[in-house]
Amino acid sequence: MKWFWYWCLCCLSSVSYAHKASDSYLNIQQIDASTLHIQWDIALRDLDILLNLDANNDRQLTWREVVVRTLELEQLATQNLVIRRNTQDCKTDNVQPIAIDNHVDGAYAVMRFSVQCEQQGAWAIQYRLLQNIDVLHRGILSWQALHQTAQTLVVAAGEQEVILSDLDQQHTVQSFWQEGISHIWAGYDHILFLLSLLLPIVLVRHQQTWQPVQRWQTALLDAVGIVTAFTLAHSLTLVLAALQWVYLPSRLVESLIAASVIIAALHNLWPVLHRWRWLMAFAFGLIHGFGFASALTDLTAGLEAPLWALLGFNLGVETGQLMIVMVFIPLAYFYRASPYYQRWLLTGGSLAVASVASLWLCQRLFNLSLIAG
Amino acid sequence: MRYVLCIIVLAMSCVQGAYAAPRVPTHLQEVIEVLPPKITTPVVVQNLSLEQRVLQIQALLLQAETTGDPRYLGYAQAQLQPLTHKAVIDDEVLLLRAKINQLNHHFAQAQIDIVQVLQRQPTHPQALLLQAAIYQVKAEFALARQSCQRLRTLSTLSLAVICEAQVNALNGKAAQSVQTMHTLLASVNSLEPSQQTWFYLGLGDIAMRQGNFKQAESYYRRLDMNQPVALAALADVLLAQKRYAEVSQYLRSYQQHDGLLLRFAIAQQALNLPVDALISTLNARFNALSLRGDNSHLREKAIFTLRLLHQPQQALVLAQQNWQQQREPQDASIYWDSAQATQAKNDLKILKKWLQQTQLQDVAFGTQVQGAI
Repeated sequence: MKWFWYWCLCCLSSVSYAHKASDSYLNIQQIDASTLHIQWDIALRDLDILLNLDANNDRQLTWREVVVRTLELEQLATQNLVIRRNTQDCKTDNVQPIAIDNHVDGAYAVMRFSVQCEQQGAWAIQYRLLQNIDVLHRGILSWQALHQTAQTLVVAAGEQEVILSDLDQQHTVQSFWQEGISHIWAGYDHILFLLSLLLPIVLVRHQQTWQPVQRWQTALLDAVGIVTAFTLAHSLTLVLAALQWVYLPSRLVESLIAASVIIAALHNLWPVLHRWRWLMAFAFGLIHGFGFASALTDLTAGLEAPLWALLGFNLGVETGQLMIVMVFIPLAYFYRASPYYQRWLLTGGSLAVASVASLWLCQRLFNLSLIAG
Repeated sequence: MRYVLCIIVLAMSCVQGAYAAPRVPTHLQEVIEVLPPKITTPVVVQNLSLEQRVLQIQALLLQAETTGDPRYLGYAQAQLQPLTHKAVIDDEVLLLRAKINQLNHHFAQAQIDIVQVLQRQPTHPQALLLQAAIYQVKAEFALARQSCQRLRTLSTLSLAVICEAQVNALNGKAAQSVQTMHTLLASVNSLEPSQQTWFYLGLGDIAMRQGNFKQAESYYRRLDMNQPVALAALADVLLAQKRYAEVSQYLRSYQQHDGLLLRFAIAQQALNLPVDALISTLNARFNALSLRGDNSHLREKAIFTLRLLHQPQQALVLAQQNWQQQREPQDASIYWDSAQATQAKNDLKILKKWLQQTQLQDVAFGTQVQGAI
C-alpha cells in the first residue's frame, strides 16, 4: 500500500498537460545534387538530461556551460541522426558554431551543419534522439528536396529508417510550373521574339501598305497559328534536349535565339512571309526550345523525377506565354487603326527590338557583357 | 515595381518573424535557460529489479502529475517499455501502462489492461479506481458507480465512498454527495496529501456546480497552491464570480502552463487589458501541439477559440471533436456555449438529450438549458 495514495490522483478530472511534450525541430534542405543543409534545434532541457550540461547544478544554465561542451553536442548530433542516400551514409562537414533560439517552451540549442551524400538514390533518415529515454519525444522534421516545397513529418526515435520522398509529383509539377513562368518572363528574348511576330496580327498587307483588320477573328486566328507553331516547336526540342537525346552547344543556341529576334523584328519592316509568319515561329521555336532546355537542366541537377519537372516547366512556359498574348491581343486590336500603332509601335518598336537583339547577338557571339539579357 | 518590392519585403519579414533567427549570446555568463529541478531518478534505462523499476516509474508519474510536465510521462513510458516485452505481463506493469494511457487520453487502450488485471484480481483497488475515473471522464456513470462499489471492502471503504459520491454528483445526486463527503471532512486530515487533494477538488467541484462559489473557494484554498491543478480550480471559481483581478494576480507568474495562461488571458480580457501578445503566445503553443499531432488539448483550444479569438464556428468544430473524446461537465459547457453562439440546433438537441439522461446538475449550465428548452 506504500504507493496507494498516489493512485488517488488518477481520479482527478482528466488533467491536461501544462504544455507540449519534448520536440526537436529538424530542418533538412537539399541545396544541390549531393548537399543537404541541416538545422537542428534541440531543447536545452533535453540536452541537459542527456549530457548533464548544468555542471554546477544550480539549474541556471549559462552560455558558458553550453559552449564548453560544443564537441560533445556535435557528437550527439551526428550519433543521433543518420542520413542516407542510396543506402550510403552521408558525411558531415561544415559544422557551424552552436547558437540559441527560443521556441514556445523554452530555449533550444541550434546546431547547423551540412552533409555530403551520394548524387542519386532514395533518401532516408534514422532518428535516435532520446530513444529509450523519452517515449513522447518527437522530431518535427521539415524536409525540402531540391526545387520542391517543404514537407513536414513527425518522427519518433527508433532504429527503423524514415524514407524521405522527393517523388512528390504534384509538388514537382507545381514548382517547375512556376519556374517555367518566371523563365519566360525574365528571359526577354523569348517575349520579344513572340511580340515581334504578334505585332502585325491586327493589320493586313494591302498594296505594299498596312491596313487594320476588319474582323477580330482574323487577328485571333493569326495569333493562334503563331503561338501554336511556336509552342509545338519549342516543346519538341525542349523534350528532346532535356532528355539528352539531342544536344546543341549553349553559345550557339543563345546566339541563334538573338538572331531569331532580329529577323522577326526586321521582318515587320520588310515583310515577306506576312500570312506565313507561323512558319518562322515554328522554325525559330525549335531553337528557343533548346534555350528552355538549358535553363531546365540547370534546375534539375540531382532531381529524381525529371519527367515531371519537364512537364511542369513546359506548362509554365506556355502559361507565361499565354498571359502575355492575352494582354497583348485586345490592346493591339483596340489601337490597330491608330496611326501611332503602325508608325511608333510596329516600325519604331521593331527597330528598337532589332537593335537590342543585335547587341545580344554580339555579346553572345563574342562572350561580352554589354547589356542585360 | 514598387508594390512588388513592398510585397517581397513584407513576405520576407513575415518569414523572419515565424522563424526568429538563432542568436549567439555575447556573454559567457548569460543565463540562457532556467532548468526545472533535477530529476532524482535516473532516466537512462538500467538493469533494475522489477520492484525497483516499478517504484521509479511511479515516482516519475507522480512528478508528471504534480508538475503537469509531460516530459516525465515520456520518461516513465520509456522505463516501462522493457517490462512489457514478455508473454505474460505483471499486473503491476499492466496498471502502470493503463495509467500512462489514461494520462495520454488513450482511454480504450487503458481499459484493455485494466480488464486483464481485474480478471485475475477482481477487487484490485488501484485498477478499480482507475477504471472508475475513466468511466467518469467518458460519462459512463452506471459503469463508474459499479467500479466504485467494488471498492467497498474494509480497507478501502472511505475511498469507495468518495469515489461513489463524485460519480453521483455528476449524475443527479449532488446534494446527497455533498452530505456524504461532509461526513468525511473530519477525518480528511488523516489522509495522505494527494488523497486530500483529490477529496477537496472533488468537493469543491460539486459545490461549484451547485452554485456555492464561496464554499467551493474555501475548499480549494485548503489545497497546496503550487500544483497547477489546484490553481486552475481556484481560478475557475474566481472567474465564475467575475473576480478577474484576483485571477490575474494569482496566475501572472504561471504563464508557462498553457491551461493557466488561458485563464489568465480570459481574466485580462475581462479587465480590458491588452491580450494580443497572450493570444499570439497561446496560438503558437496550440500550433506547436498540433504540429506534433497532439490533440489532448481540444477542450482548451475550443475555449480559446470561442472566448479569446471570438470565432464560434471554429470553436464548435473543436468542441465537437473534444466531445467525442471526453464528456466532463467542462466539455459539455464549452460545447454548449459554442453551439449557442452559432445557433447550431442539432448540437443543442444532442446536448439537451444528454443532460436529461445524465441529470448533470450545474447552475450556470442548468439555467441555460432550461432557458433553451
